[in-house]
Amino acid sequence: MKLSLGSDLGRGGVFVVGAAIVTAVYLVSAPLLMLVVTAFRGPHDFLPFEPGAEWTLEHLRTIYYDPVLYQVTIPDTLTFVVGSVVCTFVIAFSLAWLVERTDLPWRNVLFTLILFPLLVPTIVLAIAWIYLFGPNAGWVNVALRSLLGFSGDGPLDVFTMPGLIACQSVALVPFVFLLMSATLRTMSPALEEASSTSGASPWTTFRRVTLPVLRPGMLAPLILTALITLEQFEMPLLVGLPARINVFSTRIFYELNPDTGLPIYGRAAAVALPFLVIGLLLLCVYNRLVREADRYVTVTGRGYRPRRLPLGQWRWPAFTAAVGYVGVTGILPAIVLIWISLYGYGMPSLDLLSDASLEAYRTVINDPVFIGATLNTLLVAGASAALVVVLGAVIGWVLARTRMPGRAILDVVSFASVGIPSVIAGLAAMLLYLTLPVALYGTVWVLILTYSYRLAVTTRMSRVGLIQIHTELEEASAMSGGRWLTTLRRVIFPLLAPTLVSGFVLLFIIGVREFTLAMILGSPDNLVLSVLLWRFFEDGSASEASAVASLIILLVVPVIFVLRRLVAPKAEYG
Amino acid sequence: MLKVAQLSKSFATADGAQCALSQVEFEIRDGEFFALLGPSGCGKTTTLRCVAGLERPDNGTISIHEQVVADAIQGVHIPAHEREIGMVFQSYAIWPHLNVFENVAYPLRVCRPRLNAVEIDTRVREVLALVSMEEFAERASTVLSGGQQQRVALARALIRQPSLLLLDEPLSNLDTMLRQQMQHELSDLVERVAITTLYVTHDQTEALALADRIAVMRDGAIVQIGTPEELYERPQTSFVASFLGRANLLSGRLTETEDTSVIVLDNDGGRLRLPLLNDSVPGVRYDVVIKPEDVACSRTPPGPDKNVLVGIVERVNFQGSYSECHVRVAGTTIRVRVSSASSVGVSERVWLTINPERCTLFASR
Repeated sequence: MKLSLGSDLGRGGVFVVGAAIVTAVYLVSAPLLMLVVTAFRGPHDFLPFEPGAEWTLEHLRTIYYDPVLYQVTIPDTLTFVVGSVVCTFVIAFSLAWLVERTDLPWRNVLFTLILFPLLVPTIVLAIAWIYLFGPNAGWVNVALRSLLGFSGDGPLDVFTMPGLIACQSVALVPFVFLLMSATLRTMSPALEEASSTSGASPWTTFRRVTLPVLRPGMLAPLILTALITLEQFEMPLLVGLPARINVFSTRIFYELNPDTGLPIYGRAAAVALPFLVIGLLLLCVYNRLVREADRYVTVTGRGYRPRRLPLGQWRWPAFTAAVGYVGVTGILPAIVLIWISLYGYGMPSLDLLSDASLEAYRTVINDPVFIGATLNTLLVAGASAALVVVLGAVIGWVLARTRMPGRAILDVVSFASVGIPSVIAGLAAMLLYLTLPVALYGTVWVLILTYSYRLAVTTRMSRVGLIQIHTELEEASAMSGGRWLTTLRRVIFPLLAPTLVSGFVLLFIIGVREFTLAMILGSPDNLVLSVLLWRFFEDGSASEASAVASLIILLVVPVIFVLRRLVAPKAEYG
Repeated sequence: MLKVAQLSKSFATADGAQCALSQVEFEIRDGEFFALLGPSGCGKTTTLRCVAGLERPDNGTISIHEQVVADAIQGVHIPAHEREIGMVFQSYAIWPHLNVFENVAYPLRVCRPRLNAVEIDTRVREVLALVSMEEFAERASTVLSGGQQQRVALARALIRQPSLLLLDEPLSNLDTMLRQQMQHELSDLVERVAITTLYVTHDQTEALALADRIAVMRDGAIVQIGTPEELYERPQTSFVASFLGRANLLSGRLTETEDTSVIVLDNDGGRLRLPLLNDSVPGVRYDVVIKPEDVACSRTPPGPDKNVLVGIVERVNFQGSYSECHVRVAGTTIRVRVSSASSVGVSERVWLTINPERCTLFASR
């Protein structure tokens, strides 16, 4: 073995590490390569390597000479992303600041409630919003009209750009809130206290110390939020399309599902290219910011309880605002979905209470399609999470523990997935598996492989976890006569278990929530719950859609609690 | 038994500093307790890790029982897990997910041919008894004290009955009281098991007390190898002398060579008359090494024709049976030992009498 891995892997170890690296590089880069190639292959609706296909610039010409791109797609995408990021940030920062740095009442309960929508597929939220704020029959609009004596539609209309931005922001707030609160919580109070003791007023301290210190910690999440907003598909599809808003993700979907004729894959790929570049550029900026933020020593690691700002007379108004937010974004959607699943789509009233019917649930549960979709969802989310956790652990180990040549490339590949919008990942996987001469397209296996491009999360988690595990614990195994594979199985994996289980939980949730990839790569054989939900909604089966949405929530919540239980006892030496 | 020849290795550490071993050579006999002694960063741990197989040397060979386990030129490198060496790590590296029994049983569980459960149980209990830990077999390893962790680490290193035991600063993580006790236990144990031991430490008292032979290392190279007595009494460089004896180092210029050599100490520190040196050159600078116990300290001027230096007491460190005084003589500080009863005080003027026979001279570098 000539590779200076800094450790003796043995033949089995080299095989495992090599297989992990090849798989990881394949999962991330093979579909992208196919995507890039497809953009330059024609003519017309030919697949890139179909007999008769040749190199061409026709797709690029069609897409980039078309004023629609510059008059609709790009401005809409920009407005959507910037608007959503700004709204999300303002809301998330305010909530995080209230919960982490002030004496807001019921902070812990609010913390949990704010995070709740994180567990639910975005498509569920989208449907709930439409049921609530639809211009014609939306609950809130009906209520407002009868309250204010209006007639006709409105007054609120979710199917507008502001409506889309509002829906998207609310869907993104939990995630950004989590990032913000981590930053605010770990900021050492000594920095602010030092300013106070230097004679600065609270406002001066906030302006001259708090904000500059937090800036690097806030800028990185800002870029990350922009990246995530860019790849959003559910809200643009359900809320944006009826409003004739065309962001790039729905544009790609449209290219793949044209009103007439066959999809022209080269055009979809051509639309995707610039956005892929933007995604990867944003990722580079994000990486730089994270590295800079790491140099700022704001994290003390000690269990500091930051001094909390007394809100004084603003305490209860702030509390009311926070509860109002949680009520409208977390509780109201849940109520509307459960109500519709039991009573059908209509305004709720006390007279109807006794008319509850489980008919929708009965229909759904007795439908073999639903059973199949549930099993597919669990299989795809579970298998891809397991695959990504194992790959991430091995690659994290290679990055943390070895001086292998080409490490830098592996690092980039493993992290690149953050910068690849899921619409593009889905499109790229579609092109790859339509071309490859294996009968994978349309099966659950395609979904498992495609979901697994999200290597960044587990690689990073494993790397951080390994840094906290003393190298001598691994070396002691070698000195005891254990081969590297034995060490991996008996020492590294058990010690990394809390990290691996958290990684699995996280990816399982992401897998259950996933809609974009499943939608693009969907077929009758690999239907998952989120896509089934969308179908019910599109068919106008409000009760069934709501029943499926409620069942998804019922499915996700216990799984998470069980898994959390499994993690807890082992976390003590993590 | 263990033979290390022309061992060289260079690598960049995390903070960018170049660390290197150059031409390290030593041989350990069967059953010998051999210590590598030196300040931190001198390459002693790197040497140990090369022997263990955890690092690959750039150059040189290592053989155990006449079997070459590492030869950089020939490309021979037996991986650590095939070397059958027991090792105790500086951090002890007790696995937190396994209890005491499983930590110690691990080497038997991963080795081939597989042993049956009864055999493993017997051997683990045996070796736990050896380190007086048999009652703690079922204890979780996360609740062990430092001393207990060390015993478990020793038991784990010994259970395969290896022919060579490597100890990497095994006492450095313990507090002073425990260190003394574990030092005794360690030397008892090694004697009872009669195992060849390579011991790495930066603590000269540990090395002197435990080792049959010591190799003093500095800047990646071995400076001197010898028994503790040889190194202590006949150091070959001022580094060895000062590192082993916590000795005083005075610098000066050789002036007269009639029947005695005289060293004129720097900064008008006084003169030292010494027996005539064989091949001394007048005008050359020398380092004079004097151990604290070879300096007598008095509060009144002693008789004539003695080597006397006058100084002021800067500091008195009470050590129990004796006190260590730091005496300022011209530009340098000389450490001397005085009886605790002598009640020498700070700022007091004292006369230091130096026994010329006990001085060691080295030409300054």
